[in-house]
Amino acid sequence: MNDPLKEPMANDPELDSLLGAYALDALEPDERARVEEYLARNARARNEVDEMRESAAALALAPAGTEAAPPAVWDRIAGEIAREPAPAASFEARRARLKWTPVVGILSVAAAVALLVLALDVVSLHGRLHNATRSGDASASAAFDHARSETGARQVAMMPPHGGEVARVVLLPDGHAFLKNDDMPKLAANQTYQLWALTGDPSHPTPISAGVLGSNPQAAAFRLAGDVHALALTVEQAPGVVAPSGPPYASGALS
Amino acid sequence: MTEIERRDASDADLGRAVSAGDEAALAELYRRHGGACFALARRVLADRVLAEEIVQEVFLRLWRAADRFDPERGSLRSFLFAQVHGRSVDLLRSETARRAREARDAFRSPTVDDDLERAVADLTEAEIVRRTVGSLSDGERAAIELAYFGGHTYREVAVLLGEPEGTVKSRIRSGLLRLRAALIEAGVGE
Repeated sequence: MNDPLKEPMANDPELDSLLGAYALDALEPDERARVEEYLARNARARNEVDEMRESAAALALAPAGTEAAPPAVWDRIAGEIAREPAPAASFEARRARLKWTPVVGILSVAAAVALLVLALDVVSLHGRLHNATRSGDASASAAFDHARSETGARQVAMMPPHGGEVARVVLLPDGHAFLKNDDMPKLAANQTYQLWALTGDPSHPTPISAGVLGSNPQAAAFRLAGDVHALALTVEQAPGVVAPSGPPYASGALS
Repeated sequence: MTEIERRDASDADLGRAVSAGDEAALAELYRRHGGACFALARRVLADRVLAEEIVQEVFLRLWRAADRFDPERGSLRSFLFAQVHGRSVDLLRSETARRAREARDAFRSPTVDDDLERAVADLTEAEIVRRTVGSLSDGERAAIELAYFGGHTYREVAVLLGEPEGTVKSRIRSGLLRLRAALIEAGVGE
């Protein structure tokens, strides 16, 4: 709706008179189209609609006292999510490619040796990760130890640019993966480690979030799929970010 | 983000976490707003099954494209409600649902009652809403309620109320703006 290439449009009293009905979805399709064209070119009108939608949201609170969120609906939502890839990377994530190019220039040397191609997409299963950590880091840690002995398991050392290994990741052929903290320091409470899967062209990778690990993770379970060629850890402000805010704290190529 | 951190996080923070693929953040948003979204859809559609489908669709859309929510343009709650309302009205105006609505409307008066006020009586925030809604003129309130909860176009509202179309659209706009000002003054929804 907001096309910055369009010329601004002067205030139009006739269209302004339709804004309230527009905010309540109470226009006929032809009027709706005219108003949307107007909103794309008039910031004041757009702001007025935003304000009126806040009013409508307040009205919608009216039935809230008598309804709880239906659990069955959440079960269906969670079921759908489990069957599909993680959300598409945002514009911020796409912009982050530039920041990460030098890092992956280093990683891609190793990544070129052997790419791990599992499926079509990266799937971040934070809910399961959360469940694994909620049931105790010990369970994810035990799963890590067990996974190491699985047939076809690959191990990745997560290392800072200058320093030794701080964590290890074990990847199983079916995409399940486990991270174990060997020497990641505890962060401040308002910070979190975030795990990223680097996908796409290794020379211009797209980092996609694979997990928000918390400030002091001991172990974590997650899942990867797609043309992931490297993993990276960043330190972010809690509760996590949609794109890395800076260079990785540690990284490891999937070779 | 731990469970405690999620419980304390703002809607905007949870929205960002959903963008980052945090399913538990989406679950927390559903816990906070799923009930109200469902209630809104059910009120517009008068159909529990359809309302559930709308809520499911809206939360899945949030998961798939959370960056469509722009915190600069309003709250996540109003974003969700706008999505739920828009989809509900689209469905309501489909031919199949139109027949169902006609049957439903046959059992209720097109004039406005104080249903809205009753429904919000026990909630602190909703109590403020009730008071501010009470500050609207009868004409503004009638037009807004029929359009928003009835899913009618303003032209249909004009017919139902026996008022000129121009009067109805003016009342909807002035009522919503007056409501917004009153809510901000009361410290709600800033």
